[in-house]
Amino acid sequence: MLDKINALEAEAKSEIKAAGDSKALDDLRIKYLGRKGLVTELLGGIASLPPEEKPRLGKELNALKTRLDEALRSRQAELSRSPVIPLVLPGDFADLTLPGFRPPAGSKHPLTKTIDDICSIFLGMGFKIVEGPEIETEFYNFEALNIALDHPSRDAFDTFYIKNQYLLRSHTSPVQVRFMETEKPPFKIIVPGRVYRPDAVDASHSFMFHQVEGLVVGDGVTFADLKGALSVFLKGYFGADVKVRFRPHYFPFTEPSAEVDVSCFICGGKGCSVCGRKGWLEILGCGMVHPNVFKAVKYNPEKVTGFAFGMGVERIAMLKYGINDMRLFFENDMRFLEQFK
Amino acid sequence: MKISYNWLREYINFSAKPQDLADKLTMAGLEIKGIERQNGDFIYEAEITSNRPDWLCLYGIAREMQALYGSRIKPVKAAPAGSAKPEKPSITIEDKKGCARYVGIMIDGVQPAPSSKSLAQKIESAGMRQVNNVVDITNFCMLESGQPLHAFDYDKLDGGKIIVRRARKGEEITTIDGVKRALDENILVIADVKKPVAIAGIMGGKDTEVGFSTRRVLLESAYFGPALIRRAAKKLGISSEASYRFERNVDIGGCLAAAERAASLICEAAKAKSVSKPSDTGAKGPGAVKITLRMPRANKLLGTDIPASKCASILKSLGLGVKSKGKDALTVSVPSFRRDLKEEVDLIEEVSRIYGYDNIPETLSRIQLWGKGSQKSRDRIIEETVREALTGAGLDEAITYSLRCRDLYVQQALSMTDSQVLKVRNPLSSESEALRPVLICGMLDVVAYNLNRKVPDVKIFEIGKSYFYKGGDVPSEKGVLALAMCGMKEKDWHRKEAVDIFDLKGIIEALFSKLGIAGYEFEVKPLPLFSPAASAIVKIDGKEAGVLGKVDKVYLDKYGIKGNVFVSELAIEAVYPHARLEHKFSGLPRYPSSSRDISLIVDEKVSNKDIAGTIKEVCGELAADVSPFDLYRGEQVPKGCKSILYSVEYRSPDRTLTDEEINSLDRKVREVLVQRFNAKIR
Repeated sequence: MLDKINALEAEAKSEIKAAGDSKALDDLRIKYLGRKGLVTELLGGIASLPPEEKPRLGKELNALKTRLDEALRSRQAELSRSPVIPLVLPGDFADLTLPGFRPPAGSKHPLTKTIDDICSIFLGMGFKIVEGPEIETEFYNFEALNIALDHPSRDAFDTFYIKNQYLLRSHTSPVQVRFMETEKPPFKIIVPGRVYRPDAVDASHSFMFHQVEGLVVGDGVTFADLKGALSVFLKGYFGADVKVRFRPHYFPFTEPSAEVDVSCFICGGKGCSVCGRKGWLEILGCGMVHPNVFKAVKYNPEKVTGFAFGMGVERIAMLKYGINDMRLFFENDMRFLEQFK
Repeated sequence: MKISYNWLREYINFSAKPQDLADKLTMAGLEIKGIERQNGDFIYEAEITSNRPDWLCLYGIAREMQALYGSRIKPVKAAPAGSAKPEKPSITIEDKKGCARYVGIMIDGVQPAPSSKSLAQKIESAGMRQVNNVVDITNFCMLESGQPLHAFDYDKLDGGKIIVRRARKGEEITTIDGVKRALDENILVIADVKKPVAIAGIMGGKDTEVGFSTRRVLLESAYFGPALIRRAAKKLGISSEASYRFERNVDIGGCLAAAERAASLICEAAKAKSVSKPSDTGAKGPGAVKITLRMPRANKLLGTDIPASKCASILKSLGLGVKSKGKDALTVSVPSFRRDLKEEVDLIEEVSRIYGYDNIPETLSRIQLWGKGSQKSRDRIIEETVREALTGAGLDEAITYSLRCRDLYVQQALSMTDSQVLKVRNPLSSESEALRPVLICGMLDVVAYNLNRKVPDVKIFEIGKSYFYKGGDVPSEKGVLALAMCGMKEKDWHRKEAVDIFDLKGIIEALFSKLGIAGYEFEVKPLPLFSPAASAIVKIDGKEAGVLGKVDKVYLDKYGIKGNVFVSELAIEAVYPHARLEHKFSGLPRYPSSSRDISLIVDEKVSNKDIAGTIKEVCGELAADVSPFDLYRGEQVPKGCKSILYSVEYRSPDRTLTDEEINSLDRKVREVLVQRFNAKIR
């Protein structure tokens, strides 16, 4: 019996060594270790042996099982390490209708892409990219931006609070204040970042989203300059053919304030489901920096003027890429991410 | 807010078609979001910004249209209330801060009835429900003037008195919607001598509601403090047409006129016998507000050249008082219905709005005046390089929520106490109640999400923040780069091999090489959340910069993930400062190199670091490169040992090494390895 075991092991091992692919290994596994395999067969033979030999041989056979299993595995590992079957046959024949091996290529997240595209237009106009913290204080998020504690406009900036005066910033505007506290005009900055508001998640809302804001401050900055800079941006980003319109609006931190629409680039301004049949798409909010904001950072509003603007990155990315559900950005389905290579 | 096009015509003459008027209003800042046809009328859905409470009524919108169309509004009819009988009501304001003005008028002998068709239609055009002509007229007047009014059944007021006061703890009221509500000191109420009869500015009480049997009506027209109403409405969870207006500030100067208008209409419609004199309690209105507008300032801010005369006519057309002050300035007096106008810049906005944003030029060439040269911070440039390197290595960038559920397992594994986790005080749900202390949870969410959708190969990275308390109560955040991999290495149809931890390690090495970071090492050490068999600390210049490992199965089970997931987190503040992005050419080697292979069998515990380190130590700068190139375990190698093959490249920077020199170094290396690690050289 012991001889039989040794012979089987030697044979099996040489066959395993010779196996050229995992199919052959699978076949060998069935041949030796399968339900009707050779090792199993030997185990079956134990029954007919004298009782004093049974335990020793049983042990021996189980050890063989483990050894063969190891041999199969290590050959499998070897096979997967060694180059597989060459695709180019002797005589240099290659079936070039088979797919090639593509080098790995990942993609930037569409929101990062959108932020980068937006920023690059402003970089071209000489803006500087500035970033700031996500955990903010009431002072930077509200007070310094002329948003009074009891003003209903605070509703619009509904906010997640943490502890004491700390909160999650509800817009990227606090970065403007932080920048102005330490820098002197003139300057042009652009501020991308994550922001938070307690909105339940659905196709068009999220409690976390991204904004890009801009601020230009200097001697004699005018509303006309604001219109010029934003028109250049919008035509640069959405195409030279879009029409741009500025509508009066209200923001506590700017005055005069405006909302800016571009003519719907999907229907060409005729009205479609994307623009709600209006022919216009609301893209950003902007205005001349309110004197109280300058006062909060100890600038003299009689000496300097400035304009500020802000836009939601998700909305712009959705329009640009034709994405109809905001949740897709944060689910990170590989099949979604891979479309932005 | 809903606005009826036909109703507007009762206050001002204009010929604009519905769509044209909508466009005009929109371009003046009163955004019309939609137009709906209804019974021969057009109903606008308007979005009114919080600074313009005067637009929360038809008359206010008509007033704005004066500036847009140049025509004049018609005055509304209101006979001053005023017979000696009945006696005017008794009003006491206990909380003068909460209620600055309260006008009460008594109307005797009313016979409430269903409203006329035209009144009912108006009420419904605003999306309100008709009740009876007394109540409907109070609503009509609110829609017309913006002043919310309330009618009490006077005979149901205990003691026949009105007291404006804060509610007392434990008091209750059943409001007209039939809901019983608990009140407290933060809520302003209208009370009779015994009990609250209305929640001030928000909703009236059921008991004193005007019904068809009501005979005596007490009409209320008051000014309540916006903040107080806003907080109370929020607390009670009620948003009514009245509270909406009070929260945004009503015109304190308009209380009396609105009351008189309503009283005269009720008289007429509900056939009342007599109307009292008004009981007008509290302030009569704000003091006169005068603002100076400097024309050069206005034009300098707008980039325009609007003459003072044009400016004056715009402001007059908005109903403001305007006088010249010298050549270049105007003195503007602001009526009480435009209390949003407080300072010069507010007037500049009014001028620009009516002048038309479209008529303001667009300038661009001047942008270069304010700071030159675009700039990216060093960190941003590095971040872009990181993205390039990682996407180039086949990883997709993910963005996961920084707010998530509290992961108790992570807290425990990282031995964080509950108070070290940043929690949101007003979370939407427990799914987003805490800020992530590590990014790994989000990474595993993404893996699990994809596996559940039969997408088995996930290779991602995220650049984001983690959050923690820095010394006591000060919340803090830090930048983190997280990487995760699972599934197959490549997506080739022919080559199939599972990702392992060396793939992830290789990506980090390649990233460091791209960033010009050289002094890094991986210190093998069991770490929380990782399988003890495969986890390491990433160190740069001896300082901890992050971790790398195979995620522990116990933790993967919590995400329902089967198979291996490899994750790394690097602290940006510990990596970026070491980056050297400038390339510098250092010359090509001038002398040839020669290499020798060493094959040795050593105990498993002897690491590559031990062996390579020893070789470098022995050869000094003459070992230009030491690298393993094969590893073998199995037959011919004793259990617990490994056979490992090294290639050592010898080179001197200043001469050609002779064979003897190299051979002697090679021998020395072998000797030391045998001695130090009990190695068997093959």
